[in-house]
Amino acid sequence: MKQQTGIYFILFSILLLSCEEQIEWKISNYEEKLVVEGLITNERKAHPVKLSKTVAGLNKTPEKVTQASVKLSFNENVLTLIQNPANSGIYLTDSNFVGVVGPDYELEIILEKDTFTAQTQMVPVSNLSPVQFSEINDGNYYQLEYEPESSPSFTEHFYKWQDIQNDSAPFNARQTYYSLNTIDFNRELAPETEKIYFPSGTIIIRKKYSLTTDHATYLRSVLLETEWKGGLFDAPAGLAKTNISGGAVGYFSAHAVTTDTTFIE
Amino acid sequence: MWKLNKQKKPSKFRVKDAKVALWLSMFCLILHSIPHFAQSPDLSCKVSLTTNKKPLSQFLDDLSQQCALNITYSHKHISDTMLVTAQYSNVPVKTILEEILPAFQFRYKLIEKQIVITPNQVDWPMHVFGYVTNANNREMLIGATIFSEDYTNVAISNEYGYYSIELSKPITGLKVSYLGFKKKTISVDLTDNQRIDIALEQDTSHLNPVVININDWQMVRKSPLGYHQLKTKTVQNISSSMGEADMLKSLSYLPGINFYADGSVNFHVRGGDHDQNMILVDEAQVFNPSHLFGLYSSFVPEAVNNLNIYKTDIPAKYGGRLSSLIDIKIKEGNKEHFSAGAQMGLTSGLLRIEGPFLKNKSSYFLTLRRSHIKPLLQNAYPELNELGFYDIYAKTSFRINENNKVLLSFYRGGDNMTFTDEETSLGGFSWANSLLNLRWNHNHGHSLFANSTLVLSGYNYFLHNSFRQNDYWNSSITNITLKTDVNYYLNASTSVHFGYQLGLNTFDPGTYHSDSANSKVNIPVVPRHFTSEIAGYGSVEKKLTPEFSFQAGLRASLWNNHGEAILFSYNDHSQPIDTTFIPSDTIYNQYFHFEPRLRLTYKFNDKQSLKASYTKTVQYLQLLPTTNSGFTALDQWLPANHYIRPQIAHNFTIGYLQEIIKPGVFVTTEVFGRLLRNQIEIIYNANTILNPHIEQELSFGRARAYGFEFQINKEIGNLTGWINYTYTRVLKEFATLNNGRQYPANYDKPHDMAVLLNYPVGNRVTLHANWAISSGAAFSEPGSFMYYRSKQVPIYSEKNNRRFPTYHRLDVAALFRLNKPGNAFDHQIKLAIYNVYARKNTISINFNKTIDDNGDIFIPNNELEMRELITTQTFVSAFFPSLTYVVNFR
Repeated sequence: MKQQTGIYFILFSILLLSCEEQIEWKISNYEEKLVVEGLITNERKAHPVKLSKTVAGLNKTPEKVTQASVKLSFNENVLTLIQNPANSGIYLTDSNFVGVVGPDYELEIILEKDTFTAQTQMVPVSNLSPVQFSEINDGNYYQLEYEPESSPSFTEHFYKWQDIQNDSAPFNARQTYYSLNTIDFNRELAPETEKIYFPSGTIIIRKKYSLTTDHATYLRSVLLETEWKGGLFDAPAGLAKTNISGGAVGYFSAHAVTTDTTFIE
Repeated sequence: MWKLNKQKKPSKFRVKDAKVALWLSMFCLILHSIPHFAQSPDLSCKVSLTTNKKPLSQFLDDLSQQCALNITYSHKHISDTMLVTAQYSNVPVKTILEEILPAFQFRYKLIEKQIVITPNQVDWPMHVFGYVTNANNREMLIGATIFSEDYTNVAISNEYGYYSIELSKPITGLKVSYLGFKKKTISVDLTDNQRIDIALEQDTSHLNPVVININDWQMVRKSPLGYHQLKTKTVQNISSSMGEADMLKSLSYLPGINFYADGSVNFHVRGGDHDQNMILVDEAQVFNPSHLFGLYSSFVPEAVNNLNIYKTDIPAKYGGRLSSLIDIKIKEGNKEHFSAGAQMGLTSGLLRIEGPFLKNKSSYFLTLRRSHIKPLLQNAYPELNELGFYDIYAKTSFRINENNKVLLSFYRGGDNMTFTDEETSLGGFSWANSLLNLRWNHNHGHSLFANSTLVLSGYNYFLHNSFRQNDYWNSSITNITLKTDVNYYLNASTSVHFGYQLGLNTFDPGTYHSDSANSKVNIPVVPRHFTSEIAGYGSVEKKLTPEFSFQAGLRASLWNNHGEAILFSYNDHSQPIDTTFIPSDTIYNQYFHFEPRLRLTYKFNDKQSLKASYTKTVQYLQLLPTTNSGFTALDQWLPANHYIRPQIAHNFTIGYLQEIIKPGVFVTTEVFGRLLRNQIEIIYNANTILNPHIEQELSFGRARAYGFEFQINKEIGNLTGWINYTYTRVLKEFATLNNGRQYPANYDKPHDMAVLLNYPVGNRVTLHANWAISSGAAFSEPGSFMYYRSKQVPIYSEKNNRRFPTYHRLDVAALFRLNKPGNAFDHQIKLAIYNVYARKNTISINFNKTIDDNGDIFIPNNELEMRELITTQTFVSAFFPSLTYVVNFR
């Protein structure tokens, strides 16, 4: 099913003569929670588990959780993750760690008197399909065409079309497409999303991540509250079902990854 | 019916020719109903005559001739065997009549300048029955009030205009009233049961008759609790979202009914959910009454004869929904003469033709409505391919004879909204409702009226992803219903209603079709559902004393789930572990329910009454609550089955009614409560599209709703209208939602007030204003946000814990008649302004967008930019003026 994002929303806006405007809104009942974003892959590198606190409003800087003890267990191995840089709230495995398909990966976070645990598995990743793109503006620019994959996955697309001075952000843009193996009208009828157009000569690096069914479900619920929100038939608001126990939010996941690079001529 | 008088009947009396007698009697009655301009009969007129064994009828004729008197009698009673022998010389007529008539057990009465000869003794009670119609076009008048001149007996015409009133003592007149029509008094002189078809003249004293939702004090006392009747004349003055009159959206001005949002056709009645309202058009269910997602409803006043609303006290003949019944009757067509009309507004146009096939016997009615939005927007939005909707209403009626009538009606309404995308492939929405309905009205004598109905209805909707690749999602419902309803008027104090209903349903919850060769998405197949329903019911309405009456009813319904079907078994983790195939000839699941109804009425005096009712209702079909947006298109109806239990409601109402200050000003107060069981919500982030395991995405719980309504209604005078206030709470409780804690429904709006006013200026202008204010709808506000994969994700702690800002809106309209009232060629202009002071009423609040330097609001997509997000609100058009031209020929 091809995504028609934006056009339905225009249609809807026309019909209802609806308008959208910015308003001031204060959250009335802030509830602080631990946020876990842990991700291991089959790449050889230091894999991060980011710990932070929820924030009381949009655009607020989250408080980093720096006093936690974080352990990763698999196949009777137990790794202690080290916070690096110090007080960053990012806890890393050693740089030689490589995740594999098969074992159960268990994460344990101890924070003061509370313990939070999560369990995940890695599933294999399928090959990337050829890059597809279409011409925009009489061939001066291009836009990526994404066809959903047959198995759950998400693919990050890194675009580089001009030199970037800042080494910390070596790319001009990053865009993620999701194949969640579901048919969602919320996605089809989503509001207008920012378009990324790139010129000839752009380098696109793609990185495809495999997804377990549970993580795909979780990502879907995140998208329902973010990219797909504000359309014709928004789903009732709901909490994303996390795999982390103890009242924390976020997700601990493991992915097999495949990558390629395409030069757009 | 013409029955013989068998009590104390003189032996000389004999009916020689009942048909002649019947016709003469009817003729006499017709004579009675025609205004006479002659002088009052002069009973002092002196007569000289001699007769010897002359028939009484000839003797009376002689008297009539000598004094130029109008003496009326029935040959049924006065036979040629009654002979008179007498001699009078210069004796007053009065004296002669008083001497002669008692000898034959007769007497005389002066009625409408006539001398009417009637028997001394007749069998009481007697019945007057027939149909009440509009004299102009013979359209049936539903809910007209017929009462004896002393107000002791009352009848109300039913949904086919039929009435039957029992009279326990002699009267000289029946009064008939119907709002918007001149009150009429019918002279009657009963010697037997009589059929009197009553035609009422429209009241043209005002451009627009009084605004009504309760049409007569007598009717109010007799009607169910929470009952309103909305007339087309009322609705034509009210502006809805695009300035056009809309039958369904006008319900928002009635107490206890609120719409979820501007631009939505989803409405909630006394705390019920929007799928708990049954909408019937000529007895056929309408599953989606909306056009353009809800901006318009399917029902235009020009096509509707009558709309009845039952908010809790639903008669036993109706079932299938928990909270309300909206019963719409399409016009039958003008039986007197051809007439036509047209209407042109900013967004749609309408054509109407109607007339008789055979005068006063058969009629046709056809109304077509079509939108013309696309041409207005084509230049601004070239990607639009189709954008519009249509409605076709057609009806024909044939009166076979005095006792039998057949009606055939058809409705089809649809939407088509498609666009061209960047690859010139087309996609969009389309949907259609179709109804075909055959009815047979039969009245047997004065006491029995029966209606049998055969209904075919269907709802079919599509989401086209690409016409070029023939990719679309489709879902549908089809229904066949056969039912018979019988009204039996036992006597003045007792009437009985009974009948049955048989229904077959087929549901296709959704099928995805694709010709795309490269589609990689695994599209599941969701099997269709086959169900049937058998229902029987009976109710009795009885007046026990002049003050106290009750209505008690019982409906019994049997619901069957049929094969073919595939049943899944699940483990504790909601994963399917086994399947069972059910063949097509097997019933694999059944539900049986009794649905009792009870209403008690106590009349303190002619100005005050108190009512109380209890109604149990059962609902076997439910709309999946997949969205909170209030807009319709991709609705999925699910039948009760072995996973999903039918919804049940226990509804309670107490109402107090008083006429105050002066006639025509009513105050009504009703307190209501509902206990709702087996309620359905979807779980958080449910996946409801093309999901064969949809039952695993549902959560089951309960709800309760309670509140009160207060309304002052002024129906007489120049300034007419009403003010109402409703307090309602709707609280839900689901074990798997909101941590099992109670929470308000998203349509929980505690305070709701509406004011509706009409004021005629002269004979050609009517001014109209309506103002509404209510609490904002409840929504779930995030308790915090988290950063996850470069996104700011809202985290919810409570369900529906905040409200949108208070809703309020003022609409005004002016109706200008361009010709003198009563002209055959009638044309009007309606100028309306929707949302006069441009209130921005929120329909959604979002936390996921950003704004650029041009002020454009969008969802960011470049994950390296980390744009600041903003909070946004969406609202429907503020301030929308409209102009409509209406022309009618008759």
